[in-house]
Amino acid sequence: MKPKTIANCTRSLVKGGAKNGIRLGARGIHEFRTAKISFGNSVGSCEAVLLPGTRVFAQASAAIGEPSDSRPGEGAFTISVWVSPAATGEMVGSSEKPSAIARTLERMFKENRAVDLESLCIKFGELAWILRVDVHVIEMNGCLQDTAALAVLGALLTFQRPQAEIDVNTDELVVLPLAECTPVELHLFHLPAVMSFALCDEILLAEPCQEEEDILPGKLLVGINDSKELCHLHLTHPIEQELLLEATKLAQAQCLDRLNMLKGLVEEVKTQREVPIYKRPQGPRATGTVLSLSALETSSRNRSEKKPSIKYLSPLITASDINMLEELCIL
Amino acid sequence: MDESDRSNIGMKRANLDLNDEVGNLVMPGDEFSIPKDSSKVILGPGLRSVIDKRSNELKTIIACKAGLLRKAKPNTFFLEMKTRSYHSFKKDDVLGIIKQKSKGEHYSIDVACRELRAQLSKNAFEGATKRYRPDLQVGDCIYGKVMDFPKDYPLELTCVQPSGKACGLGSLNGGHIFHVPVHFVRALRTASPKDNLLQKIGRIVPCETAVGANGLVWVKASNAVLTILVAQLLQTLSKANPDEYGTYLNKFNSTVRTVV
Repeated sequence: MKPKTIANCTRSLVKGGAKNGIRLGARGIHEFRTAKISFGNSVGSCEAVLLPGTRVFAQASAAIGEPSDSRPGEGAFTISVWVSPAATGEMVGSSEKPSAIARTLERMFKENRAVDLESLCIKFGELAWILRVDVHVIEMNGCLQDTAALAVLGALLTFQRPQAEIDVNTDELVVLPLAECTPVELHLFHLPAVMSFALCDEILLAEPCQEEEDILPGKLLVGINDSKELCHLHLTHPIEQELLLEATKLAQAQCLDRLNMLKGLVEEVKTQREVPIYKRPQGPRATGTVLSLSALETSSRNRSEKKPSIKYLSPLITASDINMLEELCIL
Repeated sequence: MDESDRSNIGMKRANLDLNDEVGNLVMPGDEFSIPKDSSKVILGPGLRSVIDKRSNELKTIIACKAGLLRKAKPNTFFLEMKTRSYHSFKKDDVLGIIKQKSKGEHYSIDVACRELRAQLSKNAFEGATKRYRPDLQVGDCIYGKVMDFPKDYPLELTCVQPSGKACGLGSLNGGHIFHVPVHFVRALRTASPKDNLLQKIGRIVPCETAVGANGLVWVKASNAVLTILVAQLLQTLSKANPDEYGTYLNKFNSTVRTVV
C-alpha cells in the first residue's frame, strides 16, 4: 500500500521538476500514457489499463423494463461505479472518487447522447431495454476518468443484446436468445474519450500519475469524440485561453489515436465472435429445458397473469420459456 | 495417513523437520516438530512458536504464511514470501512520513500500512533534550527503527541507536520517496556484494539511499533527473525477473550517459 501522506521532498521534486520539464514517471511533459485494452469472453466486458498502474474494468448488461414517464419512447442507460478499497486504501463510502468518475461518465455518455436510446425502445411507453454499465476500479494510479471512459466505450462497442419484439398477433413479448438470433449491437452516435491534464503554473502535464494529481492543484479534463469535437470540459482552476486551446489540440491528436486503436481492437473481437448462421450446427437446439405438461400449464398461466404488471424481465428466462414452448409444439 | 498423501490432497502437514524442508514451499498451518536442541533455533518472519499455556512448554512451530522456507547460518529459519503489505517486526528499519504533529510528546507517522499506526517520540533523536530537539514538519521523511511493537497500540519508533548515536537514522532532506513491493526490499538490503543491487546502481549513479523494511525507498542523487531515473529503475526492477536485472542495468547505464 502506498503512503497516504505526501512527503515534502516528493512535493518539491514534482513542483520544481514540472517547471524544468521533468516528471516523476520519466515521461515528457506532453507525453501521454500507454493504454492497453483487452476484452473478456462475455459480451460487453472490457478492461482498460493505463500504464503505469491504473486498471478499470467495465461490464455492460441489459434488461427489459419500463421506460421513464418523461421519455416514453426511449430506453434507459445507467452507469454505476465501484472503487475497490484495495486500490485506494480508503474505506468504502468515504471516498469521493466514485461520484467524480460517475459524473464525468454520465456527462460524456448520457448528456451528450453518445448512445442511441431511441433504438432501445420495444413498445412505446411500456417496454424498453434498460442498459447498465458497471465500472470497477481495480488499480489506481491517477487518470481514473480517462481509463474509465475508455473501458466503458470498449464495453458499449462490444455489447450485443438479443432481439426483442412484440408479437403482432398475440401482443406478447418475444425475446430470442443470443445463440439463436442475430444479436443486435448498440448504436453509438459518437465515440467520446477523455484526456486529463494537471496544471502547474501555466504548464500542462499530460495524464498525471497519482502523486502529480495530488500535489499539483489544477486539473483539466478534456473530452473529445471521434470527429474531433469537444464534448466535455471540466476544470478546477480558471486558466488562460491559449492554454486551453493548447490542451484541446493535444487531446484531439491523442484521442484520435486512442479511439482508432480501440476501433481496431473492437473489429478484431467482432470477427472472432462472428459465426454466420449457415455455419451453425444442425439438429435440435440445445438451449431450453423440457418440462412436464403440468409444469408447462402453470408456467404459461403465470406468464399470462404476469403480463400486465411486467417490470423487470430478464431476457434469458423469457427466452428459455419461449424455446420450451416452441419445442414442445414441434414435437 | 502418509505424509506425502497429506500434502497431495492439500491437508495440513504435521511433524515436519525444519532442516529437511529448507527450500521447499510451506503453506500456512504446516506444523514443524521441535528440534532436539530447541534453545539454538531462531524463528524469523512467517514462523511462530506455539507454547502450551498449562505446562508453559514449547508445543510446536507453526507456519503462518505461505512461502519458501529459508535458513540463515546460525540456525535461523524464516519464510521467503512475496507480499505488498508490510507486517512489523521489532528492530526493523522503517521509512515513514510525518502525518501529524501534535502538541504532545509524539509525532504520528505514516508507515504505508493500513493496519498500523506509528508514533515517534520528539525526544528520540541524537543529542535531543527537552529544550533542544529537532523541529520536524508534517510531510518530512523519517528513517527510524521499530523500538516496540505492542498489541493494540501504535508502533513505537526511534531515531537513535541504543548507543546514543544516530548511525544514519533521523530525518531525510530532499530526494524522492516511493513505494516498492515489500519482498523486493530484501533484494535491496542483502549484504553480499555479488547480489547487492544498490551497490551496482551506485557504481553508475552515485546516490544516497535509505531502504525501509516497509517497502518505502528514499533516493537522493546529485540532481532531480538522476533521482527520478534511479526511482524509475528500482520500480521496474521490482516487477522484473532477477535474471533480467543485468540487462536493465546496462540499459540504465546507457541512458544515464546520454543525460549527463
